[in-house]
Formats: sequence, structure tokens, C-alpha cells
Amino acid sequence: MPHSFHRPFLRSALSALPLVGLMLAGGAQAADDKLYLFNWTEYMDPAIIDAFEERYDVEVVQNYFNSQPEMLAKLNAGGVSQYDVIVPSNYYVPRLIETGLVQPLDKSKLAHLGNVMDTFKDPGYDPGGDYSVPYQWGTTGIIYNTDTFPDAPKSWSLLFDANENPDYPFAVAGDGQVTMGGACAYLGHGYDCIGLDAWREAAKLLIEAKGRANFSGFTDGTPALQQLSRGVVHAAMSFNGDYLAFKDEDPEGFANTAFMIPDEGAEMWVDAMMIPAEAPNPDLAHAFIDFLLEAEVGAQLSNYNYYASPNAAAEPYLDEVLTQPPVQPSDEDMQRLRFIPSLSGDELQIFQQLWSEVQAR
Amino acid sequence: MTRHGLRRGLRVFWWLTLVFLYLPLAVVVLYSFNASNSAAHFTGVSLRWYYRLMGNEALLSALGNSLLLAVVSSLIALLLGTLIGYGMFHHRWRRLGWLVVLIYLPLVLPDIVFGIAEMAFFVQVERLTGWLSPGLGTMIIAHVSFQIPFVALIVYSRLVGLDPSLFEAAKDLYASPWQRACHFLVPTLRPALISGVFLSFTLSLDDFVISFFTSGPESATLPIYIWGAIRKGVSPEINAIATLMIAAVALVAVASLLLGRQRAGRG
Repeated sequence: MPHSFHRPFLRSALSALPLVGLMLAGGAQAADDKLYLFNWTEYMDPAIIDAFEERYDVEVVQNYFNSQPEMLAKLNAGGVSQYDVIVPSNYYVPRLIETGLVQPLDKSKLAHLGNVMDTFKDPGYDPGGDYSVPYQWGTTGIIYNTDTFPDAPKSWSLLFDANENPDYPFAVAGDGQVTMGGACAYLGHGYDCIGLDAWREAAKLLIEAKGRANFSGFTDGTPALQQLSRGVVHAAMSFNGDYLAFKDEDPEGFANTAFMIPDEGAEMWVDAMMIPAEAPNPDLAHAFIDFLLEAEVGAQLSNYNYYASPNAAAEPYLDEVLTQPPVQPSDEDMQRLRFIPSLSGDELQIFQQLWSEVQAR
Repeated sequence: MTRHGLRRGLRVFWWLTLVFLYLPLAVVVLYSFNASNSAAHFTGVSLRWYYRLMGNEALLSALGNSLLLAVVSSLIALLLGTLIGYGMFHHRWRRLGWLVVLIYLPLVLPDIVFGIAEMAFFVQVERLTGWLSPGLGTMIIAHVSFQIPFVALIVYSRLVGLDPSLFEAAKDLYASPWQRACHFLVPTLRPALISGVFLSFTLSLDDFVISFFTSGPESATLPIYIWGAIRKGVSPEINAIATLMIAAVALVAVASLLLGRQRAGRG
């Protein structure tokens, strides 16, 4: 047998090993002059990034996520030591704090922290604002076709009452707490309902709604807008800012649509900036957060995103469209908005069980 | 059924297959030239999305990452896979069937399982040693490990198909191991090596799931970039890059066809 046949191959294989080693070592550590930002897709004005890069002579590397579970998975998969600033939504903030994935902020490095609106200085999701600084805020309401529903009620009944809409296709959000909250509000338990009884009733209502012939599916805010513009659905749940951004880009497609905050209550959300526990460059992360807290930068961000600014000092620089509904809800609607409660432990488990039942049936 | 009827039925299926394969691609190409930013209405012909593409740094760097990852991983997989394929052939009389099954396993495993497993493993290693933080390095390792079985199997089946006396002949003629490798083994294996490396390259370029779980902040590949960008709908910019990729793949396919013809003509 040709025993020695394979030796040359083996040798060349061994000589390739150092190459592999090089690749492992390379890129393992982040450079000092880089800021790693992990944000929602299409949620940052490129001009702001340019300005920050210029002022601090650094490079900003942006990464994007489409959902919070996706972001959480990435953080757990080593991202906790790879990103400097992340932008989760309010009801994920407590979860991130409890699991130790984020670090407390050093407020002495945030000179413009005073610019934050009073409403957001001591939020329920992060008492004292020790871990997070608000980035943008918005609402999740119902968007509907005004041709189909010329006299639409200002109510969740547009989705949940079969008499109100017996024929036209409609969708609800795919995010469990967002949709269950709506069902709770419709049933009179309040948008921020908690507890088995209320949830069970809400789940029942949703299963009923699913059974209707014109139920189109669980569609999240952004795809829902596309379906609305194409006439695939005639009523769905989505976000006020994305709605305006889409309308701006395709005025024809959204000509006969309207955004509504149901009188029974709806969601108000905040996306907040946080620093992962082992961020490679926490100093630069603080500098970035403080940069966005500056009055003009904060306004620039909102003007780009069509979302309301949590920055009180930014107000004079905001475009007019941002100072009126649907971006800035009326005072009455403001009273009706609630944060989604952050669940943990048994509550979270019960909720998830009910929600998967809703989706499965 | 008559033979004639059968033939007509098959022809219909052939055209149906072509329609379902290529019509969706045609739609992508058409909308990449759309003047407006809409996936529903075609308003006019324009090249604006191609111009925007050229200025999109994130997208271009994702494309660069994709190519780098595909080239490096498929070359490493070619080397290691060939060694394994040869080893499997060389020791096939030793009842190493279980070893072969071990190599098949990643082929059968769903990508998502493999991706999550790789991710969990890298996280543990990083926690213990500080090595292997997610990035291009971990992506290369992950890609190489799912490419190796393909290369190994291609090489192995080529070797099994050879006349065993060829090996003896090479030895009888006093060829040194190195000469045997250079003048006999590599030339005979060349078709297998070429298809192995191209298959690995394509698999790597295509892969989203495994890349997604093993990538780091600076190693987003094209599929990862596109996934991140579709939240606001498929923009014509993405149609434009898809069109360019379709064109590139078509060019490569035509080139390899011509090359093959040339060789066949000469042979």
C-alpha cells in the first residue's frame, strides 16, 4: 500500500494552520477610534453620523436589527462586548437591566442630560433614568382606509367588532403585547392590563377575530403599511412616524388613509439608548449619547425619522409636522396612551403561553 | 397515455418550470429600473437606483465581506475537504463507515440548528479564552465546516470511480509521493476540485442563516445587509444589487459553459 502517499498533503495542511490562527486573532478586538452602534433599521440620519465622526475624528460602524428578540439574541451571542450603543424599546429595558447585559450610565459624562423632557426623566421602565436615555418616542395606533370606513369610530371596535367591519380584510400586530393590549383596551381592562383573567379574555377575543373570514393575519407595523397602500388590508396597526415617512414617500398610495388613537387607550413607546455591559468603548458611547442630546442634533433626528423628540430643547428646531398629530398627539389622546408593561418570571410565562395559543388556534 | 401525449406533457412541465424559475427574477430586474420607489407601480425607466448603489458604503462593504468570506472559506474547505476525501478513499477498507456518517451529518442538519450550535460554541470559547469573538474569523470557521463535507464527498466519489490499477502504475514507475500528487492525483481530480470549490463558493455566498448567527459588528455580508434593509420594504436599490448579482452569475455560467466546450473540443 502507498503509505507515504498522503504526507505531502498533510504537510501543506499543517502549513495552512497559522493562517487560520491569524484570522481568529484578527478582528477580535475593536479599535479605540470606532463606535459600534446597534440600531433599528432606517432609524438614523446619516448626516448625524457624519457630523459625529467629524467632531470626534472617529468612525461609526452601524449594525441593524429588525426586532428586539433579534437584538437580544445578538447581545447574548457575544454582542455584549462588541457594541457601544444599543437602542431597545421601553419594555425591553428592564429585561436588559435585570440580566446584566447593560451598564449604568455615568451621568457626569452627559452634559446635555438636562435637555430630556420631564416626562422621560424618571420613566417606569428605568427609574431615575440610570441606564437609558430616550432616543425617540411614538405611538402604535390604527391606520385605516378612509374610503372604506368614512365614519370609522375612534375605537378598537374597527378591528375587533365584526359588525363594524364585516367584509374588508384587516390585520393586527404580530407583537404579542402590542396586540393583546389593544384587545384588553377594547374589553375595558386598559391597554396596560396585567393578569390571567384579563389576558384570557383578550386571548379569547383575538381567537374570535382570527376566525372571521376577513382576518388577514398578524402583520407588524411596517409591512402593515405596505399592505394598506396596496389595498391588501383596509385596517391595521402601525406606528405614527413610519406612517408619515411612508406617506411622504408615496403620497398617492396613502392618500385615503388616516391614523387614529382609539379612545379606549393605545400604546406609547420610547426607544432608548443604552450601553452594553462590556462595551468596547464606553467613553465614546457616552459622547455619542450626549451628542444626540444636543438640541439641534435631537431635532435633526426627529425631522429625519418623523418621530416625536424626547428632547425638550429640540422643540424650536422641529419641523412643523412634528408638532401636531399624529406625531404629537392631542392632550386628550396623550392621557389615553400607556407604556407596555415589562413582564418577567411567571407573568411572562403565562403571557407567552396565552399568546402562542392565540397564534396557534 | 400515448408517447406523443407524454412528450407534450413533459414539454408543458419544462416550460412551467422555466416560468417559475425565471419570472420572479425578471420582476426583480424590471423593478430595479423603476423610476419611483414603489414595489407595486412601475412609473418609468431610470438608473437612479444603480447610482445610489454606488454611493452606498455599507452595501459595498457587505458585498466585499461576502466575497472575501466566500473566497477564503471555499479555498480552505477545498484543501481540508480534499484531504478528508482522499483519506476516506485511502482507508476505505478499514470499516470507517461511522466516520463517513459523521461527515454527512452537517449536510443533513438544518442550517438553523447548525448556526445556533456554532454560535453557542463560539460564545463559550470566547467566555473561557477571549478568542473567537463573533466576526469574519468565526464566520470563516463556520462556513468551512459546512463546506468540507461537500468537497470531501465530491473528491471521494471521483477517486472511487478511478481504475485502482492507476495508483499501482504510478508507483511502479518510481514516482515519488510528491510527483504522484502533482502529475497524477491533482490532474485526475481537477474536475472534482473545480466543482468542489465552486460549490463551496456558491454555498458561502448564498448562506444567510449560519452567517447571521456567527457574524460580528463589522462582518455583515450581503444577505445580512439585505435582511436588515427590508424592514421598510424591498427598495429598488436591493433590486438593483440583485440584478447585478444575477448578471454576474449568468456571466460565470456562460464562461464555464464556453470553457467546457473548448476543452471538450480539444479533447
